[in-house]
Amino acid sequence: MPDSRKFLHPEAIKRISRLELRARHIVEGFLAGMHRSPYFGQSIEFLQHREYTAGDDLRNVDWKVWARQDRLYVKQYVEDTNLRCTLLVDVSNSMQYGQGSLNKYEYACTIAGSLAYLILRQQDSVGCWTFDERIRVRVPGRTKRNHLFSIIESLSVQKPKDKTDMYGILRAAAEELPRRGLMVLVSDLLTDPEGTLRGLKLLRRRGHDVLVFHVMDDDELDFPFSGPMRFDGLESMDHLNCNPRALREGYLEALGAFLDTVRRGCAKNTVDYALIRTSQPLDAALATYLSSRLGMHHRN
Amino acid sequence: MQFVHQALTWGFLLVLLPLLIHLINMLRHRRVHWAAMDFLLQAYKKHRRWIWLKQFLLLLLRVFAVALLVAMLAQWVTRGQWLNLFGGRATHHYVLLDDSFSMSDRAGGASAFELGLQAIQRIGAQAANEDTLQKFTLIRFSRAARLADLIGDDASVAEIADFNAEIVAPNFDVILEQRRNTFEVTDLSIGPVAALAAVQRLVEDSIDENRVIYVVSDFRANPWDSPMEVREKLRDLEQSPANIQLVSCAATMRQNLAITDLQPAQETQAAGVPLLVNVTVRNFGPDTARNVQLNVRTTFFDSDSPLVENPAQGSGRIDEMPTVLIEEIEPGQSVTRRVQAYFPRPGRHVVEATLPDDAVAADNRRWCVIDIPASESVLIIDGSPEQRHAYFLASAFRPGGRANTGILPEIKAPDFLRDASPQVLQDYHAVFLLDVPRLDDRAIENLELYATAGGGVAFFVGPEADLDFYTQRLFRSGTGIFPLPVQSEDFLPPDDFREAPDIVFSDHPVFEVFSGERNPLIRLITVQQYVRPPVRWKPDPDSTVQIAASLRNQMPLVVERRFGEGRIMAFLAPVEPGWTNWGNDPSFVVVALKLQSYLAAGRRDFDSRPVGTPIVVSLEVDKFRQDLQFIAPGDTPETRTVIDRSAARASADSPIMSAAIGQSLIDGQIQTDRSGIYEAWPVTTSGQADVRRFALNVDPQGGDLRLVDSRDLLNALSPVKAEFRSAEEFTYELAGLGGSNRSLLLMGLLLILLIAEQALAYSASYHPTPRKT
Repeated sequence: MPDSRKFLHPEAIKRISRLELRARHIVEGFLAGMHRSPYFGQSIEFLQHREYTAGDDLRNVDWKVWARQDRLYVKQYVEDTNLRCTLLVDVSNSMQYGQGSLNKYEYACTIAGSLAYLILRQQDSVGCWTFDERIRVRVPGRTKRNHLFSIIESLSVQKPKDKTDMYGILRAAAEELPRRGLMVLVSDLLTDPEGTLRGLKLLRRRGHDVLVFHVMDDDELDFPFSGPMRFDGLESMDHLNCNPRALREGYLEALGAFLDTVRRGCAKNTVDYALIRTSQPLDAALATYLSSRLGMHHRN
Repeated sequence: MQFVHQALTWGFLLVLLPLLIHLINMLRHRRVHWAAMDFLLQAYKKHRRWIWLKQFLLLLLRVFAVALLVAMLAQWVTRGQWLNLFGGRATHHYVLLDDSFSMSDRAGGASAFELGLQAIQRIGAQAANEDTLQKFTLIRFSRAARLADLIGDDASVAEIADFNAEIVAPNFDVILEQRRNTFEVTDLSIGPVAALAAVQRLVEDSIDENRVIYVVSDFRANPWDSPMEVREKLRDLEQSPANIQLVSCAATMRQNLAITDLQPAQETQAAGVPLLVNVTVRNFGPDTARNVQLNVRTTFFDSDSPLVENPAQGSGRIDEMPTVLIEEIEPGQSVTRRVQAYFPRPGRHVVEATLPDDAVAADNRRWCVIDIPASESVLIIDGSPEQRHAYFLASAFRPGGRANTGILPEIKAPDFLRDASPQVLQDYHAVFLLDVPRLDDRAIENLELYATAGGGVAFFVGPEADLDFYTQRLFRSGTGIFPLPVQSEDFLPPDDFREAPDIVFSDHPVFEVFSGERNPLIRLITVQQYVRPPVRWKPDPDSTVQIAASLRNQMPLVVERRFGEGRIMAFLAPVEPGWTNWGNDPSFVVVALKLQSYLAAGRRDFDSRPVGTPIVVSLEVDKFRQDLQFIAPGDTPETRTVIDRSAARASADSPIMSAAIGQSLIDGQIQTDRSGIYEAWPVTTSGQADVRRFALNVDPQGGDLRLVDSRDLLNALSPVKAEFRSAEEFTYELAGLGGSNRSLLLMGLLLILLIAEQALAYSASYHPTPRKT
């Protein structure tokens, strides 16, 4: 691991209280760790030639080279797009859970801020919605650098509460954002998976590229509890007194089924899905984002 | 339910502890606000029942574990039947101690009996050290034999057991040592069967125990050589079930001589007549015994002056007889020597024989009490009115002058038999019927009654005898007193060349004077005429009829049979010369005396009975006082024991009252278990003592010190699985023999329970696991 990455750990990030500083720190640290950009896209800045392979867009074929050498090459450019990205950040009560350095909500906000910073740094447009059972704040997409503060402000002032209505949110996003763009959903997805998948499907149908950051705490994924415990529902009045170790196997089984459903549903709808632990370094989300961007170009 | 430490039973309240901890845990749980509640509830609904069951089992196991721990510390000694499943029962030690006189064999400083006692002491001491319930029963062979012989089947074994299911306390070894110091070797020779039978009865009454049966004995060839009955008893006990331990107290066989027989010879016994006494010595040792000194002494009691005032003081006059030297006795062989005693006056006198000390002392002494009468009365019934036959017998019995045969003949006519009462006839030692023609029914009845009771009868059949009467009434097809049917008189053709004697004698005590083929006396006797049986008559092989002498023409001349207890001899020729010259021959005197001795054997009284036999004295109510004394022998005359008894009648109108010793245990002892001379001192109403003596002797076979081989014994006892071990190295191993130690059992159970608890707790996920990183 490059030395710079050690500053991307949640423990380190937690010490930075201001979110915009966190975002800058993460993105700068992330980029400093990259030796060269592996991402290629449509731009006016030519990068290199590559031999044509079946499936490549014929528009990218360099006909001049063909005329001279009688060989098919495609031209590759440094990425340069006019991206419209909307960050959909779940701020419901369930996101408040977290025993580690950052809880899910903080982690999600940090991811959103970092992405916003990264996108704005690339001269692209970024907006942000926060929601629980309904949309709390809408920050429309802008390309200005100082737009970051608006986004971060929208994230930081939210007091998460109530249940998540994922389908309703995604449907609203599909309807209110008709122009095709990138939808980044940052959530723990602890709601009806069918509704979530239907919403994602709707977004895809409207032409959006969708990237899902599934933020889960280690406790939720590993269920390491022991000793007599009482579990109170964050989004419900349910509670349970139990020996957690006795339930661990059943819990993990149910969770595994849930994750499997979500993962399969995303794959089926060509939605990029990344399960992220709150204990993971935050650059993983950025790496996933960039990888997803590349995938989008490939799909396009 | 019993506990050694009752106070610790309060600890059972601790079983509430797991319940309390469980309840407290339910109250002090950690609280977590949880997002993924749906998955948790889903898992809970799915596994709820199984989780509850595991928790319940876990709680139960913890409660049991605490209860077991408390029970272990309090030392649970409950004998509940369900504990059989776990082997946690009481251990009962049944010790059977052989106290036969062979156990007195002393090799290497300690006798076999002492070695056995030491082994028993170790068993008791180690049982006392155990922390589980131990019970101890000790039965001596001699007392077990009393159970069967004297007390009866209804008696309780507890009466004969030295220890009966006694709970072994920590100080039990001290109690056992005190008690065993009173144990002594008896003069009895008893096998283990009675003791095993006694244990069988105890075992039947007790259940729920681990049994260890120890047979502590010297395991001599007698009675262990062919232990069929022992095997059956042991097998029954083993199936009860029980662990069988054979503890051997003797390792070597040493030289041992025993006097196996001491009794007067078949000769006339009368005051003033020399008495021949046969003494038989047997060599039970492994080596030839040489120059064995046999001492015989007589004790003469003057019946005219018994000391009524002090019966315990010996009043006899002891005469030491010259030592008899037996040059050699081969191993396993017996040698009989005849010594001559003399008692000048009638009475119940004693003959005692002793051998030098060897391995076992009890069989080196033997006694017999001989009732010497003033004379032996003989009844002679002469068929001839002139009594010409009786003359020859009377002359033989009373030769006159200073010669004393001890025989007092009385000559009577045949009608005496008819008129005499049976009691009168009983006073005669023998009855001779000389050519009696016939007898009436009353006489036949009296005669047969007399013979049945042990009287001897001799018939001399001559010309006056009614042969049909003899055959029809006296022989009665073999059921009567006469030994053979007679058909007719016959002549023995003369043998001019005298190649063979007229009479051929068989090997019979009456005719031993003629023993030897070249005996000249035989040829002096001639027979011309005789009475013969039917031609085809032969003695029935299944009957007691045998031919004692026959003629040279193979016809019987003297025929003998047993009738009841009596001996009957029929001479098929008269005494009076005419048919034979025997009456005039000197050999007839010898034969007459021998015949009288032989016939009177059943009438002679000498006493020698096995040690341990009860002594019963019957007394006429109108002649004797009720109180009497018995005197048991001691090591010396001064240590004799006086036992007071009161005679009792069997029924209120009975003319006979009786008193006895040796029929029950008195102060834990059998009063006739010591060999020697016992005396009964009944006193007549006129104040005269009528002293009666009894000789109680050891069983000579008890001196057979051959040891049974342990492997042979175990094979003979198969399929009984017994362990054969030496008393010197015998130590008691509880874990191996008596079952599980209860504390250890509880500890084992506790361990298993705790392992199960841990496994269940792990299964129920109560064990923390390292958190994944």
